[in-house]
Amino acid sequence: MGVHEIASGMNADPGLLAAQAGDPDAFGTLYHAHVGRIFALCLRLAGDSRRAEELTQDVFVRAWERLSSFRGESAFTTWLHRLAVNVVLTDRRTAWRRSRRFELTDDPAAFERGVDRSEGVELDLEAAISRLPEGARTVFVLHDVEGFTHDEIADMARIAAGTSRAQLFRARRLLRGWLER
Amino acid sequence: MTCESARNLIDSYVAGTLAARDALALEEHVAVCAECTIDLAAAGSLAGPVRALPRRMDPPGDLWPAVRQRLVRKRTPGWGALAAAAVLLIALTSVVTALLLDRRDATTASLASGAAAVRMVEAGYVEQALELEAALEQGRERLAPETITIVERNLDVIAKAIAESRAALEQDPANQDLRILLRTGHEQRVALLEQAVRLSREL
Ligand SMILES: [Zn+2]
Repeated sequence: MGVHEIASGMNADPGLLAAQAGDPDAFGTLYHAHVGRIFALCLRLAGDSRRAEELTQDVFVRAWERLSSFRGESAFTTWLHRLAVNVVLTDRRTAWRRSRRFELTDDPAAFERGVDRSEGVELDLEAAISRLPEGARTVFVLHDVEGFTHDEIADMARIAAGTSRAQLFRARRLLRGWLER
Repeated sequence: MTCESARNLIDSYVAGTLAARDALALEEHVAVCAECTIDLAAAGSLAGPVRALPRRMDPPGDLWPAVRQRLVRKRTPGWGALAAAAVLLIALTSVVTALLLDRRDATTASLASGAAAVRMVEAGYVEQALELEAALEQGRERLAPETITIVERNLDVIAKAIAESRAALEQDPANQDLRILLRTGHEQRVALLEQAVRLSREL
């Protein structure tokens, strides 16, 4: 058991193995390969670029701490994305209790700080997504953009799967209404 | 078809993966349901633009230096001390059991009372250790591999010390010092397991 059992269970990605063994440079390679997708996820969920930067850092620090629990049963990308969603939603729950700062996240201007303004069509949808109420935005991003199932979302967000479905349809209706104006 | 079952089919309908029969049933419902007409239209008009969204976006600044600074290998305070204690324990056990056995009073030794003496000392410890081992098994994946290695190595050391004291006490059941030695071994094992369980819960 111990190190060998953990290592033998996974796709032998040498970079991943080295990072698991505690090599920060190997972890840096993983970071650079995944940071774009994790930042996009954090930005869309948080709706605020500065907060998304903080969350992205937290995600990778947490991933480093938890790397030994990754057994290679799922793809590393899947594991990392679930961990990221968990970090963002946990932060939101505690932050909401601490202060009410997430009232500010429906501000589309805050979102655009992190987006290249030259991307015309995408920007419209991005801005519309950032205007969604938090519950609807969370489900829309996780289901339609990230591809999680309602059961997975229910599990991660601690809501009923039926609530997740209802929020998704609500989000889509709002988005379509805004985009067709 | 109910609105709920219609909604469950909308995504696969838009993706074109719905069986022809289900697709017809959905169309039939949508033709007479204003709500589902809206939902189908929304899903259809958003599918393309959502697919076109960039999957990756670079953060405005390089976050790696800040992340790298926070990557401190978590030290597990107390392991060093416990490991040293375990090593000391086995060294002591070997020497002390030899010394103690030397002065044993042969007349008190009997097989039956030897086993009884061991049972008396070990009562409670064995169950406690089993419970802690079960708790540790549950939290095990939260521990770093090197932590698990340290715990296991030390449990091995302690197990050897316990076995040695136990064998000695069986030969010399009246020896008070051997009882203390055996009890110390069990206490060490429980303390180590408790610390490991606590650590796995903190993480
Ligand atoms: Zn309907």
